[in-house]
Amino acid sequence: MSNSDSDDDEFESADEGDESTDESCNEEECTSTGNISAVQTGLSNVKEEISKEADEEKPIAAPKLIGIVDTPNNSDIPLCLSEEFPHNKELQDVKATSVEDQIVLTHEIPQSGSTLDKVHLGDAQAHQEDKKNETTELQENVPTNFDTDSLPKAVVETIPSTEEICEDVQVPSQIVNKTSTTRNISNRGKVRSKPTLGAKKLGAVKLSQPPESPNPALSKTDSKEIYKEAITSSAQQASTSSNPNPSDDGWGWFAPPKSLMSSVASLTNQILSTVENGLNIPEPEDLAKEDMLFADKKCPEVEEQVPKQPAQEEKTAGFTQLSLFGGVSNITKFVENTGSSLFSTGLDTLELLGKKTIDVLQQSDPGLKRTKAVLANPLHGSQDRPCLSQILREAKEISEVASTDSTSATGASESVTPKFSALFELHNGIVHLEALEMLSQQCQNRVAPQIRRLPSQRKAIVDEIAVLCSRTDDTEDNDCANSDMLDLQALEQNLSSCFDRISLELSLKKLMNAFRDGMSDSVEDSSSLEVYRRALDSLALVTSLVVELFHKGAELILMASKPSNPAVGARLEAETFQSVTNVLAAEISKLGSHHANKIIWVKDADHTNYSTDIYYEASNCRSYLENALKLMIPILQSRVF
Amino acid sequence: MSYAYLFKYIIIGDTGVGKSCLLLQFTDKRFQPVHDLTIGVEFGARMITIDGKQIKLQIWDTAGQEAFRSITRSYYRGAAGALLVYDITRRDTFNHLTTWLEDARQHSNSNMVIMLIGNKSDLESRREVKKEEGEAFAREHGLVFMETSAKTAANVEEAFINTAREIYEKIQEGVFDINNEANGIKLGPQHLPSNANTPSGGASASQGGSCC
Repeated sequence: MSNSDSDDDEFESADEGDESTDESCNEEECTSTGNISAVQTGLSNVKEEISKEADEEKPIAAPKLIGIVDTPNNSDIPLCLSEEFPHNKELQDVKATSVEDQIVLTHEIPQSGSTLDKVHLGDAQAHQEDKKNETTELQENVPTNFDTDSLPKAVVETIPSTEEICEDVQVPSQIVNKTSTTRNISNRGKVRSKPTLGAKKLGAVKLSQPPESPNPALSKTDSKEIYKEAITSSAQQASTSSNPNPSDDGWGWFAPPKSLMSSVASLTNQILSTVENGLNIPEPEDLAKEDMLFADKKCPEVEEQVPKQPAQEEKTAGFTQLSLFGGVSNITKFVENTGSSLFSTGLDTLELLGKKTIDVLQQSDPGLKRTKAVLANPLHGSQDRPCLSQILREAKEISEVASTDSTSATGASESVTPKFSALFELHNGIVHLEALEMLSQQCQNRVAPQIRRLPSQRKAIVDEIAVLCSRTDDTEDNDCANSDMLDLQALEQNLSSCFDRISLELSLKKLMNAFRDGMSDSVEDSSSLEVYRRALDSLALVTSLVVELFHKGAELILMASKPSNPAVGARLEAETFQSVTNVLAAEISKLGSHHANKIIWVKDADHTNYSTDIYYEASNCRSYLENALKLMIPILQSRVF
Repeated sequence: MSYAYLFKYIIIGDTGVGKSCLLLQFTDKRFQPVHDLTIGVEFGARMITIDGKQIKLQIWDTAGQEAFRSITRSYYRGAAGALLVYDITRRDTFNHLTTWLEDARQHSNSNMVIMLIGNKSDLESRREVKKEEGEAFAREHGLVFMETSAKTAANVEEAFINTAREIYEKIQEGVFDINNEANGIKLGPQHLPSNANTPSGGASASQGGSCC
């Protein structure tokens, strides 16, 4: 191995610290395992150097650290892994390699620390080379491990609830704690941008892979997991289930610092609440930043990430040194660097959690306005403030409802599914009903005070009119109901004679034409959706015209001169409109059957549902007519006076 | 079919001034010299765009005959705009404007935008009412004025759209309470929250460039 190669390797290992959390946060077992195996393959190189460098730099410290690292990890990690991910074969790899990884880590870190500056300078190039190496390595692993369809499912199955996630995230609890320290400091307004930067970088690193990667599975991983899946109903599950993976992987990766830190900081058991706090990113600025990130990550990060990364890394390193290790003097710079780089990965993990959280929130609260409002003023009124997990739960419910809606909608229509109400509006049915209602209301206002003063005989008629117009018979034994077929001529005659009886000159031409068109249209060359659309249109048109007929009838009745015997005349009018309603409702029902039968002849898969819908809408038409008839009541009653 | 707002218009004025012809010209872009007498009210609708917003105009074309007055009055309620039409070739139709205006003001909400229209401007040779008179009447009563011809379609679009624009401005100024349907304005489907599901591009995307 040449000198430049070893430089690259150093860089790679330093970079991989980020990379691993990064990709593991990606809720991708495949990526993480791929990554691990990438590390594994890289291990051999590093291992070779370990001996050299250990000799050169820290001949004593290194073996010590390994000792520290090994013991907790061997006992802890595999246990945790096997408990939480019983289905995942990939995890076997993690187990197998975890110890090795840690060794690598401890040894590589002095290099990463010392080469940090170098890394920044030669970043762009080296980074790209890195990616190439990795992706080629990943290429070998990913296809075997990665099943696009089964994976998300498996993830969801593994961790179905938020509570579990909290448990899982416990693992890097100290990191969480430390991160909250970070947050506190940033709250004072100094390093605000850093976590965002970290997250940004993560996204950037992630995104930078697909274009360079010859591996389609990888790019699938990114796009599908992060962007698409967030939109699906399992958005929250997916996002939450992403947590165990990173934390688990992180467990493997974080184990060295954990043990290191346990000697520095005290162990904490307030894990659940810590994680809750860690997740509960309350600052609006934070949310806004994440918001921008979210919108941003779709495209431009690939270009941006290379120049941004060095600055971020430097900052993170310096910052963590200051805030987390400032008080610990007896730990060498070597350890500090180890801690800092691992911390930055820990921070990144949490950033990703936060980002994911925002993603989920974004689904139901696009501008995050509501969320911001709810989470604003974290110091005040914390009692009544809903916690983020509750909001997340709500967001998930909303997204589930939305997705079921959208799936049902897409299932029913490749074009636009017709809606009866829209067609009814299109044919002015609604506005005629509205106008009729206005007339009805006006008459009601006029009639109501007079009814009380009416002699009882006339009052009985007023009541009778109300009863007549409120009750229609579905199984009316009128003249037309005998046959199943629509007899348009008989219908027209019947209606004209009805209206003649009460001297109403109503034009039936439009209505009859609508019936005729509805009965005669051919279906031979149409799809079932088209037939369905035309059936609904025909029903809506006829219903609209009937409502219009009632509206016109009402107008004419209001204008007509008083009948010689108001009481008898008014009752006759009410009887006429009631029977017209029954006749027309029966005819519309027949028209509906006609359309429903037609659709059965169309050779198309959907006809059963469509014909059922047509029957339903046809019966729905009756209620429109009944409503119109009810609106006639005050108008007909006003004739009694 | 989707729209941001729905405005209810009424067209009022003496019989034979060309109310139904104006509506037909606006909705169908055609002219029908002989028109049946309107019974009660007829309806027309058309979509227009103001300020990038789709607005559905729902036009109630009322009967001008005196016999229908009591009925048509009940339709004024809930109109956001009114076209008060007279015939420039018939002075009596101009003289009745005051009654129509009183009727309209009495039975509709006070914020209703009223456009005064002198129709049949193509019949210049038979003109009985000068344009200045119409302008003066409009100025006096705080109306917008326009001479139109349903036959040649001159100013017909403008009459309807300018009225809509004025209503729209009133909405922007907060004069109209869009949530009160008695004002003749309804929110269309574009305003429903379901729209929020569309990708959150817009503002956040524009910020994206500057964000690191």
